[in-house]
Amino acid sequence: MSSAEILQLVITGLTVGSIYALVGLGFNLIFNATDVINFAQGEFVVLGGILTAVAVGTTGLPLWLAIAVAIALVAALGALIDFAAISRVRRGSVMTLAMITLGLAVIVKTSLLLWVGPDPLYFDPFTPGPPLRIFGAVLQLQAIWVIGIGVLVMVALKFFFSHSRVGREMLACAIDREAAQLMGINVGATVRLSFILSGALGALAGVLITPLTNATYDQGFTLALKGFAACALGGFGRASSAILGGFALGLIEAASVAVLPSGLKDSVALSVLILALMIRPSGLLGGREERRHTQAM
Amino acid sequence: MRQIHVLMVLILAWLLAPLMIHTGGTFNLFIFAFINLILVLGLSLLFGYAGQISLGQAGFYGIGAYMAAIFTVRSGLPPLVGLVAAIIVPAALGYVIGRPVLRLRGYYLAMVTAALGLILHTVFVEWVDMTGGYSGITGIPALTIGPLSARSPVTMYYLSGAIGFIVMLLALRLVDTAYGRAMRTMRESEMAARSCGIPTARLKAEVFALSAGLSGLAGALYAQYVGFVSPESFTIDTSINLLLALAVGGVGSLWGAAFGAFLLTFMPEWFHQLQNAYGLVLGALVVVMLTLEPRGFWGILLRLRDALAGRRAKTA
Repeated sequence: MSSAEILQLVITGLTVGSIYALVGLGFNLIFNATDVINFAQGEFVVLGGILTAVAVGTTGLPLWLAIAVAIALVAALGALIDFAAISRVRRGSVMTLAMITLGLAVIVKTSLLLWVGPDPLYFDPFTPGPPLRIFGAVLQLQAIWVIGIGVLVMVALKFFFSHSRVGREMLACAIDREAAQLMGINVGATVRLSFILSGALGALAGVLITPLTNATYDQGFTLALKGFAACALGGFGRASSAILGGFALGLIEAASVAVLPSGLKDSVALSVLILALMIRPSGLLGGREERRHTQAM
Repeated sequence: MRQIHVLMVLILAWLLAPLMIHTGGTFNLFIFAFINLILVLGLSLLFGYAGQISLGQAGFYGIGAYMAAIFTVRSGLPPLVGLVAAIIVPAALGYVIGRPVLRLRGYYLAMVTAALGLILHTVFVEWVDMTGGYSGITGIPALTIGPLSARSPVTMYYLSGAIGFIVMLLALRLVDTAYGRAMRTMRESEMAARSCGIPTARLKAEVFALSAGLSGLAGALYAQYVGFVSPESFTIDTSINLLLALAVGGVGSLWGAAFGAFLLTFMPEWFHQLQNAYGLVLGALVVVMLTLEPRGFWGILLRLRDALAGRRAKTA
């Protein structure tokens, strides 16, 4: 394999890896606040891409406005999910909550199928122009957007959690919900905010990647699985491990396409998830233990 | 025992129902309902009773279907051999995979089983020599047991129904034995189960194998009834729908599971003018039901019974 091919592989890997990292960070936001894995996280991504494509394609909104509207709508959906369902569950375990998000994922997916149909949707890259060529490798301009905004968001989240009051309250809820409540933190509002942020983050990932891969109604669950794999590779509940895991997964996937039939791409990524969890059930970097138990309901 | 009475009434209804069913379509639906019943019962034992979630049931369902197809169409063996292989192979695979995988819990287990299901789906698609890829395998012979051949919908209705009732009966028996109690103890607390001397690692793998075997049995019935298998029938959506059906019916109750299985089969039919809209209804049912009552439809029945008993106690 030539060095140009390897460079190409790294570029592709980092691009998809950023998306997995963003999905993983979305998982982390809700998981930290509630101990719930939001199975609809992948649907947030698809919804972000499809809403933007529809807004650009049918209403002729300028791209930046379409993106803003799409992200706002998905963030609002996140809030609605918490308001209408999650916050109302009084009995049952976190697994009950996870099943509710699974039901929501099916609702979103079916709605998308009925609304826009099974064909992939698409909108133009953020900036037009031919791809760059570096040392023989091709770099799409959109890939620069994906990686650039991805990294920007990751850094912003880091600062949000370490320096802002709200971010630290969220962390407090994650560490000990009861104690946080006793210290006067409004846990309900914090959870609501985590759903809003998670929706926005998911939609952003969808908006970034759609010009490169198109958006189809049924991609959500696979994306969610990969985002989860990103988190699990590093260890759940820590932002840095979702980011590292995301990039690692993206690179592995890109490498697998170079040597194996592309139909096996997802299987390779998922085998990595399974193997990693077999070796270290709490993640390779060691995440925090699941607090409340997540067995049956 | 009252469960037995309910079951006997249902069996009587099942035996007599063909007197009132006049269309092949209705037989069709009932056959699929029995197939789904076996699938959801397997999941109920695994998740509801032993506390181990699985989002990969469609993978084992698919293996069963392909076993039934490959043994008959490719190897020319009788359908009954295919049916037996369709139970044994997924069960053995389930045990081998289950042993290491079931060390994981909760979400990790959910995601890893989902990943397994997706990988198996890829195998069905990519192993073209064996599975025929997307075009699948056609011409699978109907199930034949001795002189009984399930070529017509009516015979298949009775055959699949009989198997469905047997599975239900065995499952009801199983959860009442010491083995079933060990499963439930493990669900409540693995630590407690282990301190009572229950070998949890082996128990988990055994129940996983049992549910994989049941899924395989359902797969064989499906393949031998439809006569055709292709990867589309064994996607992650199938696994998700099974889990949602169980959640609506009631996790932790076999009767709830049965209810969920029938709902899952009949709902697409009720909403068939609206193409795939039943996904909306199923999803909404799950969200509303679990928000109100985590034990699903069965839990609502239990609460109704308690409420009635309470009122009776007051008036007395």
